[in-house]
Amino acid sequence: MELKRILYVEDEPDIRAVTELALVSLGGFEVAVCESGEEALKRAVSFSPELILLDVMMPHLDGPETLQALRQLPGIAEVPVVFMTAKVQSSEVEAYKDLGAADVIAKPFDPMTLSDQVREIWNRSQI
Amino acid sequence: MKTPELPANETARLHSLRATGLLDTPADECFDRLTRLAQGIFGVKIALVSLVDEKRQWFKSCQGLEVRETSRDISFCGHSILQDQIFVVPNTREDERFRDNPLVTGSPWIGCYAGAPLVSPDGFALGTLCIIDDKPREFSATQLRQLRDLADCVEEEIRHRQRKRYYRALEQLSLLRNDSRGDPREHLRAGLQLGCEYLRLPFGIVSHIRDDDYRVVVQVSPPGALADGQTFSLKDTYCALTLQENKVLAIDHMAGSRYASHPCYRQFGLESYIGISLQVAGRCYGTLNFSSPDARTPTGFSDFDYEFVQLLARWVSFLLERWVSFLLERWEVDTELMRYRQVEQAVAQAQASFINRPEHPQAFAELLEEILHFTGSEYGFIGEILHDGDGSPYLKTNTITNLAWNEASRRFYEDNIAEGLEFRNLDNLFGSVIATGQPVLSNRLADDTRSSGTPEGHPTIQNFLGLPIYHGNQFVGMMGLANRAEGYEKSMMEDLAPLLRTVGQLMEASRVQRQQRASELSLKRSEARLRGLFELSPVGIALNELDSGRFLEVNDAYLVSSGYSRAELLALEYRDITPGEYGAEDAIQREILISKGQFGPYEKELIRKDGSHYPVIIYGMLVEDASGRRLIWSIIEDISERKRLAVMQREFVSTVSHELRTPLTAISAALAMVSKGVAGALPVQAETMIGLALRNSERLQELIDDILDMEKLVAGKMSFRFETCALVPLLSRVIEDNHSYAERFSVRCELAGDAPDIRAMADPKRLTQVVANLLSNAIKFSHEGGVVQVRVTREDGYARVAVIDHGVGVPENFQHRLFGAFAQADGSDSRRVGGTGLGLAISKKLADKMNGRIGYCNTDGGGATFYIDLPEVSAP
Repeated sequence: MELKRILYVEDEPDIRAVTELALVSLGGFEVAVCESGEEALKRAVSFSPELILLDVMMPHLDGPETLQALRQLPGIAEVPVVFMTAKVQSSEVEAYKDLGAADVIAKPFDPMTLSDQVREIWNRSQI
Repeated sequence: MKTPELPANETARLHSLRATGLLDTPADECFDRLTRLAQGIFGVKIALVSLVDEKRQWFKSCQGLEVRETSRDISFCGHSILQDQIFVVPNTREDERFRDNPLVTGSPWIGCYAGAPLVSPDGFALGTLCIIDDKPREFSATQLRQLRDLADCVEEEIRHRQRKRYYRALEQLSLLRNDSRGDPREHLRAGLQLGCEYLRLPFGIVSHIRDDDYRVVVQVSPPGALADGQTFSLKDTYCALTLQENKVLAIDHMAGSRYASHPCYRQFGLESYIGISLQVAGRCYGTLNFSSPDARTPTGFSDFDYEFVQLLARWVSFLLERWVSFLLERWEVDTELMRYRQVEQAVAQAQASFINRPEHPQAFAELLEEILHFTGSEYGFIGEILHDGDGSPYLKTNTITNLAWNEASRRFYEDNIAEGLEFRNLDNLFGSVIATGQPVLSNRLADDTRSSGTPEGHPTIQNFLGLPIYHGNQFVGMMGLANRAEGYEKSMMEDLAPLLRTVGQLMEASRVQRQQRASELSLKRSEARLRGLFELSPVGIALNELDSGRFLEVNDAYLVSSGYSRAELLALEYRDITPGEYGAEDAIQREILISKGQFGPYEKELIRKDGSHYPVIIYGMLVEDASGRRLIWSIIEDISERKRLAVMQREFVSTVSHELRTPLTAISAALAMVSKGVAGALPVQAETMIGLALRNSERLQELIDDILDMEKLVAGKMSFRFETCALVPLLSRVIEDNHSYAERFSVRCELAGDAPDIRAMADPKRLTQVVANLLSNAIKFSHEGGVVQVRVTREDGYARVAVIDHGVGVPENFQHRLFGAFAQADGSDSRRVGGTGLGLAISKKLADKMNGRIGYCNTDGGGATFYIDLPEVSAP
């Protein structure tokens, strides 16, 4: 099985645009781009993603809160979630993992290898 | 009846008569015997010794007559005294001169009269020895001769009386001499009184003569005429003449003498004078003299008078001598007493002055003033002996006579006299006191070899007395006195001893007070400083009782933090404001405090008045108060603000990192994708520019990473995962990772030689970071085509990883700053070679955190060698 559908949540429009470009154009994924945690919650069930890329620092619902909320949604509970954050302390990485994140991708990321990175994480989560 | 005429010398005669002292005296057997003889021999009814007074004739002896006197007018004797021979009236009734005389016509019915004049030794007819009968009668020549003989006997008796008077006078003088108690002045007066009476002169004087001054010491004179203490010019007195004689000078009748032109005579009209000079203690003292406005004629002064005056003068001299010596003695005793009183007074005054104003050198000045006065010295000083750092003594004056002799010296004295002059040159007279601790006395300073002379213009010092001042056995100072008119005597040292003791005591007291004042002052200053620190300290300070924990003192800073008022806090114990969870830690710190005297610093929380908690760092020490009570001084630093700032800083860094990284993420990603042709092929120029933008975004990325690393390291928030690292594989990987970077600089990196299999305890990720940093630096600073070697060695139990380049090396003046933040040897380098300037600082902190060390040395042949040493782990 191959990863195809990614729900991507990011409040920063520029990052959103670049990431979307990297995932869609370079990775060839089907991406649902959300501007906020709330939007993600609305669209998650209908989109039915195979992986969720979640920015940590967002207004209103931040990454961890969005994660918690998403876990309550039908069919979403088992979907691997990857945080993207500028805060990359190892302790935080562990904390995010404890929250149920599959992994953490540090910002800034290399757009050329982002898709490979995401795919690798998804593959690991499938084992 | 013929009234008897008065003789020409009547006044003198009367004077002479009175001088006999016979008038109005009781009957005397000596005279009565003669009159009885006359009565018997001549067979007459009446025989008399009759003395003719001014108005009467008075009978010293009287036979055959009841009355003791009759009027001179009717007296027969009044006629007799005018005769040289016996005056005989054989038949009064037939004599014209007496026929109607009441003494003839009535009782005692004088019929005949024969009177032989009684002549005094000085030649005056004083009266008669007369025989009277009631019948006329003739006297034979024999009878008249017999009468004369009897009269001579009476005269002899009178003279004898006078001698007796003289002897009596001598007797009285002798009595005076034997009774010399009481006021000597009154004794002298009694002597003069005796002299006046004896000599029958109204003025008697004991004079004291000095130069031209004639002073009446004691006198006897008619009321209002003279007074003790009265002075005259010597030349206006006869005594000027007396002093020229060395014997009695007697002038009977000045008007007729060669001294008639003497000023005394002209001024005072004294006709008679007898005087003699007085010798007291071998020196002429003055005169004893008696005088009178009356002349002493016709006989003048008798031999008895001369002799009496001489004797009296001897006694007066004797008395004066005693008196003078008594006075002298008394004066000496008085002087001695006075001196002691002066000394006592000076001592008391100095002590009082010192007690009243101990900080003031006035006590010494007053004492010196007294001593100068007391000794009659012109100049002086009192000084303390102090010692320089090398132990050499010097003199510092407490007080000194201002000897200023010109403007410069005046200014010098003015500027220094209050503080005290310091004399360090001791090669002089007072120096020898200081050197020996013994007195120095020099009465001829000019000839004294110990004297070093004085500066030009300095007042001449003629003589000098230097006295050491001791306090107990301690030689504490000295006093110098100079220019005593009479020179100094050894005895003065003894006289001054009590004063010197006082000076010594004052000096010691002054020294002790100085010390006390200095230590009080320093204590006060220290207290003020501490009080200032305590009160102004921005950090809380509290004093608690160890046993009760009660607050005793707190400063404002502590009050501000706690929210309590001082009164509220002083009613609490420290346990009242400590949250329960810190009880255990407090107990531990209390144990440490008791055992080591100090506690902390440790972090805890305290409870504010409003119940909220605030963090503090607290430490302190144990002290004891005067009563032995154990107290805790605590420094309580409110770290709320620090904590708040730390949180703020964390949030700030976090925010910055996020805020910077977010756009950077977009920029980098966009650039990366464009440069890789995601958006299609780019023109060459555009590709170059995109490459440039990408490199700079990467550099920015590095800078942000470094800042975050540094912040984490400083805040102690960077976590480490220690493990045993095999260095060779790790280093190979780092070299490999930096391969492309090295290529950009045309530099080759290699692991040097046979790398030993060394393991170190480290966080491999952080070690990689350090080595990568060292490697990138080496690459950047190598020459093109250069080689960077990474060498692994063992150094003192450490595993050393050295990165060696052969590039430009590190300038010597920069080496010490190598591991500081933002350090780059040349500002231009950072632009040329890139880098944030934080790399080595981060590397050093990482090395420290991994219990290692980082260092630098120059590479042989040029270039730099950086190394990191890490604890080696023995091979398993």
